[in-house]
Amino acid sequence: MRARELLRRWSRPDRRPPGPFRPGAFASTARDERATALLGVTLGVLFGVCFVTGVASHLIQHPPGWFRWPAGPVWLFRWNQGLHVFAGLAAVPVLLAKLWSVYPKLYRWPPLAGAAHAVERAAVVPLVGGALLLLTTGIMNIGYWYGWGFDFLTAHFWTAFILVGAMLVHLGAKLPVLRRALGAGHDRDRPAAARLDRRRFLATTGVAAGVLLLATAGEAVTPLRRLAVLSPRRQGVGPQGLPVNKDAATAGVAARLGDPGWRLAVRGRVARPAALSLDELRARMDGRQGHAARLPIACVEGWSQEAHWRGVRLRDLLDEVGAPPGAAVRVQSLQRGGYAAAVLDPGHARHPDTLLALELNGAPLHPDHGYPLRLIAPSNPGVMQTKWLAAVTVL
Amino acid sequence: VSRVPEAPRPAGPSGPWWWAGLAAGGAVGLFGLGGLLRNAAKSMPATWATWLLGLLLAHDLLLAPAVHLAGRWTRRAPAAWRWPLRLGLVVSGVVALASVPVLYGVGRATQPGNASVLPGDYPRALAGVLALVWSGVLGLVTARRLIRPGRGRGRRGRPRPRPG
Repeated sequence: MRARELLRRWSRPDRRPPGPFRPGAFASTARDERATALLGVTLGVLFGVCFVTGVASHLIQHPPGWFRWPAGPVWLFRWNQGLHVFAGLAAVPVLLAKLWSVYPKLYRWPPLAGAAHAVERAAVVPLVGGALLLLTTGIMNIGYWYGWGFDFLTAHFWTAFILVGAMLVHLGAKLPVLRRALGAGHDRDRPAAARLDRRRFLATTGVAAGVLLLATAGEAVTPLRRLAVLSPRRQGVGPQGLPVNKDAATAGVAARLGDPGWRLAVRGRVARPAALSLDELRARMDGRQGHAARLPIACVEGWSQEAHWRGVRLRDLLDEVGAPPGAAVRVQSLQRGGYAAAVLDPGHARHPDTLLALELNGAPLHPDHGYPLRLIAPSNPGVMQTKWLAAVTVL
Repeated sequence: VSRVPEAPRPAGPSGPWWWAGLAAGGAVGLFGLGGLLRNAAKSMPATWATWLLGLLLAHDLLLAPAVHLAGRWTRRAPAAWRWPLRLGLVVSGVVALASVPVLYGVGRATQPGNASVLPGDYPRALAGVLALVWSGVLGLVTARRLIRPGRGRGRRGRPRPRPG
């Protein structure tokens, strides 16, 4: 009771602070409920896309027992990651415009109107802070700038749930405003000049998102590749015309790639374990087990590019060594730590286009692309397309 | 005892949707916060919170006031210039802001031998994009003058409230 009385005294209208708190401090007619509502809905859709695709990507890389990611269509993961990164980039101007449209509310007087309003305002901290944090860490991460201290994946993943929670609280609070602002007749009393200002404001936001996407999306969207001057990767730039996620020197395998004693171990739940030399694999590629496929490399960081791969069908090799048909398969790299191994579910392992690739775009693999042998599978994250293979283990 | 006049009290949120949103959003949000705290060795909650609040304050106390002042400044421009000028400033600002990591280029050091990481000349690319944007702005002003001659030749347009 005493606290309420203090708040009432403190927030009296005649105690309104100066500056941004005074009425009319923000008078642009481009700000109105309808603009805020339209931007809010757009932002909800963009962050919704980011959330669903982000959680999907997480489940693909750390699959719980109930989860199965389909191996087809081959472009599925490429689309998932492209949508994640480019919806996030498009959200930058939309978020800033949304914040601009509601900025005067930060200085409303009195600041609080009861307990429910206090909760609603408190939820704005994780809402706005979370959105800014996700976009900032995401954009820094695709630019390979890890300047935070915390682990990107852990923080980005859990912040997404905090943001979605704050978005649901905000939506529950603002639903009446949303209905009012988007309903017919909202603009009845609004001067034409103000409506024009609003349209220009929204158009400006759209143009900003469009320019940003045009200058970056070509790292994944091949028809736009020549425009992608501001993207962290460029299609066609890299050894054999394909970008490299991690090069052989950084992965610490460069010195071991020329070893004539290299063998691919095929082991685990198999009837006839094998250790295949490069020549034996080449002979299989040129024979009945040989296969070529056009498959994309799709990095979790958003860039992707299709390439022509040739090698030995994993399915045929599994049949040759007598692996059970429904088994998952672990592929193991010469690399240590990091993404040195990946598990393929039976759907990916048995897909007709899943290859142990020896050639890329008509030539033997460049060391940075995984010489002597790498995995390439459809609808698979780039970090699970294991390079510099040493072993295939049937689980 | 002096009487304290009643402050106007706009209603806070209420109704079934508010409570449903609060329950669902609270649950999802606490699930996220729990995950963050359970993985504290990786998520580093104190650093994380510093970034979250730092970005919030950087927006509210630096970026938003700067945009506000820039908006007020564009008010001085002739009417035909005003909207195109704001368009140019907003698009330039957004593209430059989103390009900070590639412009900074520190990511190249993560893989010195990998020329496909940040392969562009990004300062030049940004200059090119901005040149195109401002050509568009000039084109827009010219087009508006051709469509509605007489507007924007130093004349102040219709009285408008201050932007910001």
